[in-house]
Amino acid sequence: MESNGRKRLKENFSEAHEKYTDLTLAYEKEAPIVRGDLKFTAEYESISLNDIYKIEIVIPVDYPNSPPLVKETGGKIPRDFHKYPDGYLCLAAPLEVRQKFNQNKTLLGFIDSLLIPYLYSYSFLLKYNKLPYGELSHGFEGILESYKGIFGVSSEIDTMSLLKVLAEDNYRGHINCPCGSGERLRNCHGQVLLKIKNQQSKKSFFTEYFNLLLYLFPDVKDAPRKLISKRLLNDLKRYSTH
Amino acid sequence: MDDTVINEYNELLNNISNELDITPIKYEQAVERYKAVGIWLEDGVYPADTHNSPYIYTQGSFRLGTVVRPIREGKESDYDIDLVCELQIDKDTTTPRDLKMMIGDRLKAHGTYKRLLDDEGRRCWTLQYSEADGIGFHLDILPSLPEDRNYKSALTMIGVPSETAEKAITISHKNEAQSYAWSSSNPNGYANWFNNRIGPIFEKVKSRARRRIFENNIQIFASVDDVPDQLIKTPLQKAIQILKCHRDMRFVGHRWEKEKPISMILTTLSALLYNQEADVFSTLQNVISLLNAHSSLLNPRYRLEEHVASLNIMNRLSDGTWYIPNPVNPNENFADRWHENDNRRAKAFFQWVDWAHNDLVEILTQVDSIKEIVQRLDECLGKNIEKRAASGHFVLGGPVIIHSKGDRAPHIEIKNPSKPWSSIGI
Repeated sequence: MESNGRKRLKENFSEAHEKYTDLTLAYEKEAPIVRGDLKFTAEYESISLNDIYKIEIVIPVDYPNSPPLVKETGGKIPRDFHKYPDGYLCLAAPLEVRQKFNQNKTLLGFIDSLLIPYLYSYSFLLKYNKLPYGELSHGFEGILESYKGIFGVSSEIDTMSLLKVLAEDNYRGHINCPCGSGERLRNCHGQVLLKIKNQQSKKSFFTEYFNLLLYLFPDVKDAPRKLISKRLLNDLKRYSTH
Repeated sequence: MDDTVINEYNELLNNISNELDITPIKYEQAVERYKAVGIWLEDGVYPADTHNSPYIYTQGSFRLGTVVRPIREGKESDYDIDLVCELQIDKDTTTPRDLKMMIGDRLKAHGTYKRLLDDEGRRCWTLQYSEADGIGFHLDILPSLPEDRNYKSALTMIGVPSETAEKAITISHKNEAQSYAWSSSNPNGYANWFNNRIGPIFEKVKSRARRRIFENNIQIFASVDDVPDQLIKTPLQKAIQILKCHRDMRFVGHRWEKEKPISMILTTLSALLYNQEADVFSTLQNVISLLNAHSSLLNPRYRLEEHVASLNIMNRLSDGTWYIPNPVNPNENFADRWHENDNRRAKAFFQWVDWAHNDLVEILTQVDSIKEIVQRLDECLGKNIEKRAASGHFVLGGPVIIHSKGDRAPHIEIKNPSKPWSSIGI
């Protein structure tokens, strides 16, 4: 991490430390790690819970371009509760994590808007045996659900049509909105597409779209024509010859 | 042992009993369920000589405030709620079988209850509710009618106060030969007796406890006064909850699991020995030590020390049988099968007392810190305690943190939360 980033992280950390006093910042083999007890009282729809978790926040090399990763080290959260195979917490679907983090690219913003809501949902589960704001399905199904939520549509095909705009980096405000409303894109889903467009790279959108398409239509021949494009087919060919 | 550790231990015991207890939200749901059934039963048409509409009330741990959350395989499972349906009919105008069928038929006349109804039990009809949150209820409905005059006066003759005897009921009991017989019970009398035992301390703790419950559950109760008495716990009730949980955990997989002490014995003896101690640890210490002092009854030539014998809570008769009377009906002996199989139930009881003494009382002399206590309790009260009790007050495993007063955690309002996601399957 370059010294600029280091300085920024230090400022970020002291801001977070003022609120979460039991956290410490350490450098392990030059990699910065924030760890300690995260003690909080959080409230959602007037149900207040207080809890405490032992956590380890790993700061990525390109911080704050990429959001941090978190592990829970107290052994409270079991493996089968929304974690990546390597033990990092799945705070939300990947794009949502970036989206939230980009709104306030600080450690404190990350803790408040992503980490605490996640931990709260686990505490809530223990107490009431259900999740306070539901959960996404595992894997691609969950990513699809997340996009449905972002776009506010219920059909998978509509979701994919909208995502395709980003996957191909082909935003044109005057075209008819892919959701089928009959409105111009700029007057319909244009706003939300532009909003998330810069949250992750074009390549990430493309990969997500590509994976989701194969997930929905294992044989791409079955996919509706409007979800397929020349570029996609080229990439698909490349994919299958490898 | 310094006072700090005792205080911390007490706080820990308090937290554990809170975690064992039914949550206010679940309690309110249960009340809603049984009230609806009660109204349905009250509105039924019963024989012409019925004096009044049936009298419906709860009994058992739900009534006494000693419910322990049923945890199966690490998950909260269904609660058992016991409801008495006392038809106001004279005993000599019906039969045990007809009484049972009257209630059964009334339940079957309701579309939903017919669907929820389980096979006929020995004494009860059971409605099995599954709830949206996955934690359901087994509502046991006990058909009964008032005990007859002769029986009630016989009770007063053997020393039962007349206001208690007045509450006795008769119930229908189906035996193994599938025939029905009358049997006597007194759930209301017992609940009154129990409430008298906790009366003085309840008066002391109630206003503070009510306020605390209200503040933690503002979304459930409209005002402080709406918090029901059943949710307010005295040290005795908390101690009983912990003892019940400890018993369940200790006997899991044990060769005497089937003979483990019944909750009725545990509750009755604890209530008899309770001396208005103001905290959970002192209560446990007193109750368990005095129970332990009775273990010499297991010896062939037993003799209790005078101060123990004078407690008069349990006895062994000259024929070797055991006697623990129901405090509201001395005819009923809770220990009537303790002598069977070479006193196996008695042995199981005192084995458990010994465990409890070691695990819950002696523990304080064997450890140096609250951290060690937490680890040891984890072993004898179950792994689940760790998960359930770790909600904010203390953390098990790692260094123990007990919130001191004034140590305030930051407050976060969660808005537009993201749903958690897993990459499994990718």
